[in-house]
Amino acid sequence: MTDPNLGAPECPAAAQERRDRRVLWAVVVWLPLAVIAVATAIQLLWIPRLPEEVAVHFGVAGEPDRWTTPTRSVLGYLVLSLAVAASIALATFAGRRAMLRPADGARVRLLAQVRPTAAVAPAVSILIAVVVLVLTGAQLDGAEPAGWTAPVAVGAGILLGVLAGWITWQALPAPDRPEPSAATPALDLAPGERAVWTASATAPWIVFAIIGLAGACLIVPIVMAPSAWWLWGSLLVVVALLATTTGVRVTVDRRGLTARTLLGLRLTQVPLADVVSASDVEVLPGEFGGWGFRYDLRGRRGIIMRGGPGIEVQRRDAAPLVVTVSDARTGAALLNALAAAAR
Amino acid sequence: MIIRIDPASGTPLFEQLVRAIRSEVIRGRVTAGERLPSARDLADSLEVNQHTVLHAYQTLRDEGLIELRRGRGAVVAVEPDDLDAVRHLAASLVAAARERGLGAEAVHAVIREEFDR
Repeated sequence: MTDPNLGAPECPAAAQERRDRRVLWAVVVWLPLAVIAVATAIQLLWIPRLPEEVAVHFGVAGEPDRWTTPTRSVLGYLVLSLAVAASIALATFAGRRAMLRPADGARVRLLAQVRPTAAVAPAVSILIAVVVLVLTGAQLDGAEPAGWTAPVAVGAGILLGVLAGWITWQALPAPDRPEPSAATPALDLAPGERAVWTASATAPWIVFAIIGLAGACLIVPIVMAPSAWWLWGSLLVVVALLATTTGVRVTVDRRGLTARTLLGLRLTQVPLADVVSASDVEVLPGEFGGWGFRYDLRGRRGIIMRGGPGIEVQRRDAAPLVVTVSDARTGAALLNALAAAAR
Repeated sequence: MIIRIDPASGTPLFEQLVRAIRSEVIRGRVTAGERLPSARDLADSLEVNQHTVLHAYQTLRDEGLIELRRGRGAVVAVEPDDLDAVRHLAASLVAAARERGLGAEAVHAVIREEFDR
């Protein structure tokens, strides 16, 4: 009775979500199904014109090496393409659910969220259909498939598939430009006063465990192939370097915001002149899909060591940067003060 | 940890650094085992002489707040528990002084005398 959605005019957000859902179904389900239906119909119409045995598999040199009856060939195509379409659809719908909403409750458009997987669906169904149709069509009316048939079929399939994927990608909406989080009030700095803020963030134990595991796995090549020292030696260096990036030290001073690894290797710097504003935010690693150096759904660049407080910097010419770090509020306040003084 | 200095004030820069870092340590905003920026980095950030920072770090080491180690730089040395214990005693000392009408300067003098004994 008190459901606010009842009776009252539907809010635009819900209407958009419903529209998006319809578009998503069209792209991920109906479009691939239509392609499959058309390709199947064409093959069925071709059956009378095909020999009793058609080539369905080709060796590396393009020569046919497996044959079957035309009916089985159509059936095989149907099963394969339906399975592929179903798994992409599943991945798209499941991926949407697995994505966490941002911690600040900001809305992310459904279609923007699933854009990468959704664009694959029409592309792959067209790829498979084109390959099968070209290969089958080359055997119509008793023709022998030439050596170039298989490469041409695959090439044409990839070309048309990529084209379809690109068109879908363009048609689906990009993630909205993120609403900048409210800027942290600037610290009160006296004219001429100098200040530096520094804090660090380290990864949770699970990340250390994974790196330890990676290091432990190196025992295998060391024992199995001691002579390939250059291989496991360089892997060892990579793991060791990885271990030094499990912590980040962030500094805010007259030069801007700088993030370094615990060894002092500079990861990124935002000069004061590029700082539009800074805010302290709560970060969930899920927003960025994990730990490390990432992009999130709203196009923010992230250096994510763990969940919790972080500084979000709106940059003049680049996407916002989010760095997780303790005491983010003080850091953001100082960055705002220094940036304002530099302007 | 935030460090602010004002070259326009009459207090020497090294003394301002000492006060700033000391107050951050005492407030527990940097805790035992945490590393302070290297003297060079801090001097660079604040546009002061590296020796000014080293002087400040040595003063803080003499106070027992940080340790200076070759290669590792300045590390906060004071444990939060120790700090709490002293703070607790200070609270009773201040309460006792107030009860007897003694001001902060007088109590500081008493404490200094006790330290010099």
